[in-house]
Amino acid sequence: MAREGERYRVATTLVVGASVVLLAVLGVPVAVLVALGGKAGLALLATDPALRASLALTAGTATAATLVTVLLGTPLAWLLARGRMPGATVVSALLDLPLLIPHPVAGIALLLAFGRASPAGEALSRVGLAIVGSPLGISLAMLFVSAPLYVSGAREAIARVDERYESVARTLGDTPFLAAWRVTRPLAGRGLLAAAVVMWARAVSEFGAVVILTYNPKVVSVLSYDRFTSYGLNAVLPVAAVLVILALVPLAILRSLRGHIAFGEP
Amino acid sequence: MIEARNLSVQAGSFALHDISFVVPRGAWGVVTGPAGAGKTTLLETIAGIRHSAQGIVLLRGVPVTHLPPEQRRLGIVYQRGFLFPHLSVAANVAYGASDADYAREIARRFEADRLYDRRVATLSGGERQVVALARALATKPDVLLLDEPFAALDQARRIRLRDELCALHRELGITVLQVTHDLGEAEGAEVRVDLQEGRLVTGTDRSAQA
Repeated sequence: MAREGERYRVATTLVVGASVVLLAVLGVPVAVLVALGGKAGLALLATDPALRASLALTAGTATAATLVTVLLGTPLAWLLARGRMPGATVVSALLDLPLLIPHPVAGIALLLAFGRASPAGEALSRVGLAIVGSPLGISLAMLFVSAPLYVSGAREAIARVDERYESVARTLGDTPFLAAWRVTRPLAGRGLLAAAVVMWARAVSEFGAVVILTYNPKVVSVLSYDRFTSYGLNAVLPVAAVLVILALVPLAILRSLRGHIAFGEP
Repeated sequence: MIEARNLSVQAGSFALHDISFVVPRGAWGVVTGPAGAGKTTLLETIAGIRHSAQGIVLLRGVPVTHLPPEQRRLGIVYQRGFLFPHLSVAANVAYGASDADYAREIARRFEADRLYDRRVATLSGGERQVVALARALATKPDVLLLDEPFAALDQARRIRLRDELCALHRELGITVLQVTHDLGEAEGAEVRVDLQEGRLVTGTDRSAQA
């Protein structure tokens, strides 16, 4: 009995110890950053127009990327969740790929596919659009690297809704689209919103793919890098700290959504 | 009328094999069998929710095998009800109904109107089944598929609602196919389809014998 108790204490200590180490690795850098630069960073919001413009650009392009992905990705997520997607294995692998390749490589791939020298780039330029050096390019880069997060989260949210709800709706006269829209969409709603918030948060923090396509105008990740390389750590500290503080907003939204996610009949 | 001809269905690792039976128009048929025999799979195939690998489903004498559920003009009530949790009871009952007055009348007959201002989450299992039944009947189907619709009801309510359903069945000539474990219900049925491990054991048309 005493040996059981001793083993339990050792196991508990190991689990707690491992958790503390990991949480320290994650938390200490953020805490140091906010402690050293948080106050000055918040003051910068009022006095630094370039920072404000960069924040607005980042939020706007990430929002555009997220909205497009929600529009295009939700039907795909539904097909995957319901097992109706031909070649689902290949599609899933394709969706995982942007998460695995280095992001500068993603930017280079986008440059080759949509840059000025490409057929798509030429077509875009004929209608006055360009990927390189534009907010459109920023949104495209953000979409490329973070859309898989939305589709994956949306797929899980839809899969958690029992398909028989849709089946019943169809026997009551709904087409497959109407059943998904009137029944599955509201039941999966919080999960879909959470997936969109995750995607948005990821898009906002994207650097590698964005910097290849568009150095100017600067999103906040590129602005931080630019200030660090041009002026050093002290210059970038307030910017970095305020970005961490602002990241608390999507985090708080996510926490509140996840606390209320429930599916199916209670 | 509900007819299955040589129906075979693959549902994951389970399969229905060569099922054939007829429930004449306006008759009441039951499907019996142990758990896992394929009773719900059979109902879902008739409803068009599952696709058959082979064979034909006919409703009203017309092949419907390739028709989607929304074009088969039938109602289905699962044992769990599957009420839409984001809608009120009233909205659930009226979901597919084109005649709001008729939907309300059906709800009244099945005592679902007393639950109208309740949220689905607050309903008991029996109350859910009552609302699910009203919802299916509110669309005026002439074919009704029931998957143990009275299982969660207490004895008194079960008798009351079964009597009401029987009355409606006679009034409107609805063809009913019901999954049941209740031997009493099975004994009184005009057609009995016994399944075991996905195969037909017996298919008896008592109306033909009478």
